[in-house]
Amino acid sequence: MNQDSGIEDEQVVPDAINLVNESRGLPDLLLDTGMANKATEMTEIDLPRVGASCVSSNLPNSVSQTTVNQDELILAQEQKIVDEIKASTPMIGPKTDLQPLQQEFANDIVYSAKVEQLQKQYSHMRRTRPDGNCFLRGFIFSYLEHCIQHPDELARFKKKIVESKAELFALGFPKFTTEDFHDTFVEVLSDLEKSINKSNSLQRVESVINDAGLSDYLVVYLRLLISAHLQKNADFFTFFIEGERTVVEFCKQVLLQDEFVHS
Amino acid sequence: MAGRALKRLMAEYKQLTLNPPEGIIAGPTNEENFFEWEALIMGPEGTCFECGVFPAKLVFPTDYPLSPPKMQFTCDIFHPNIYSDGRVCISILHSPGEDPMGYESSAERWSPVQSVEKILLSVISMLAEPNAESSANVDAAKLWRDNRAQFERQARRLVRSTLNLPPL
Repeated sequence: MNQDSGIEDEQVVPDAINLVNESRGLPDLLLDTGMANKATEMTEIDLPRVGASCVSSNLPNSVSQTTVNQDELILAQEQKIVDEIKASTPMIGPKTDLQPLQQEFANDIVYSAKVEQLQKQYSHMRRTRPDGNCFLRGFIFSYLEHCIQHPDELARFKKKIVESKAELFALGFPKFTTEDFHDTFVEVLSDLEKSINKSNSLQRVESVINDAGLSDYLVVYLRLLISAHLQKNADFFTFFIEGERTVVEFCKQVLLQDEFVHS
Repeated sequence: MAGRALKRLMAEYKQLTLNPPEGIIAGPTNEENFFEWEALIMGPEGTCFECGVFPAKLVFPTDYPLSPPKMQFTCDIFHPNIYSDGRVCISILHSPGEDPMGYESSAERWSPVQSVEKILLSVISMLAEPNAESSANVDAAKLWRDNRAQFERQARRLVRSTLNLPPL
C-alpha cells in the first residue's frame, strides 16, 4: 500500500507544479477523477484479503454475525491505512528540489525520463498527500499562491466564487449545505486579501491548505463547481463518461462522493 | 476540524428546529456535546409502522460532514434494513467506497452536501419501503418477502410497544 501511494504521490507532482504556468480552466481539473478512481480501486483491492483473514481467525457462530464483524474490520483496516498516510504526509509539503525524485525512480526507465524532463522545466516541487483529493488540493494551493502575489487575480477569483453560489442554487444544489461550503471559501479569500503584500502571506496560504477543516471545505466546493460546470455542459461532457451513466449520475456518484470516505 | 463540524451541526440543529420536517424531531442529547444526537421518528402514514414513535441516536465523527454519522435505533425494531441491535443500514449513511451490503450503484450515498434532515427523511422512506435486497436483518427480510401479513402484525405490535400500549 505504501508503495502504491508513493507512486500516486509522484504522479501528482507534475500536475501541481504545472498549474502555476499552465491554464487553470475547469476541464483541466477533470483529469483528477481518473486518478481519484485509481485510489479507490487500490483500497478495494486490499479488502477481500483483509476480510478473508478476519473470518479464519475469528470464526463467529452465526452467519449474520460474520457479516457484521467483517464489515467493521474492513472499515477499521481502511481507517488504519488512512491514518498512516495522514501521519506521514502533510496535505501540501514544503518546497523541495527535484533531486530526490531521481533516486526514487532510478530503477524505472520511463519515470527517470519523466523526472529528467521535469528538472529541465522546474526548480522546485511540493509533495501532496495521496488521499484522493491531491489534484484539487494541489490546484487550489498553487492558484492561491499565485493570487497572493497578484491582488487583481485574487479579487477576480473572489468575485467569481461569490457569484457561483446563485449558479449552484439554480442547478438545484441543496441550499443549506452548499452555503456552508461557499461561505467558508469566501471567508478564506477575504482573509487572504488582508495578507496581500505581507511577508507572511505564503505561510498563510500554506497554513490554510494544511488546516484539515478549511482545506477539505475548499476541495468540496471545488467539486461542487466542477459538478455544476459538467451539468451545465452536459451535452458535451456526456461523451466522456464511461458506463451507462448520465452526467448528473456521474457527478453524484463519483465527483461529490468518492473521495470523502477517507478525507 | 472539529470546530467546523460543530459549527455545521449547530446550524443544522437550528434549521431543524425552525423548520422541522413532518414526522421528525432531532437534536443533541445535551447541548454540551453536539456530536451525539437523539431523534424521534414517526412511522410513516399508511404503512404498518404508522403511529409509532421510534427513538434513535446519531453519532457524528469529528470530520462531519465529510464523513457521515452513525445511526442506531434505541428501541426494539424489526425491519429488513435495521440490524437486531438497532443500527441502521441505509445507503445514505455510507460513502461509495464502503459497500459491505452491495447497494445498487444508483442508491443515494453520503456526500458532504447531504444533511441530518436528508438522512432522517431517507430513514422514513426506508421504513415505508424496505429494501430486501440488502438486508441487515435476514429474518425480517425473509418474513417481509414471504409472509407480509405476519410482518405487518409484528410491526404493529412494535408500534404499540413504542407508545407504551399493551399488546392487543
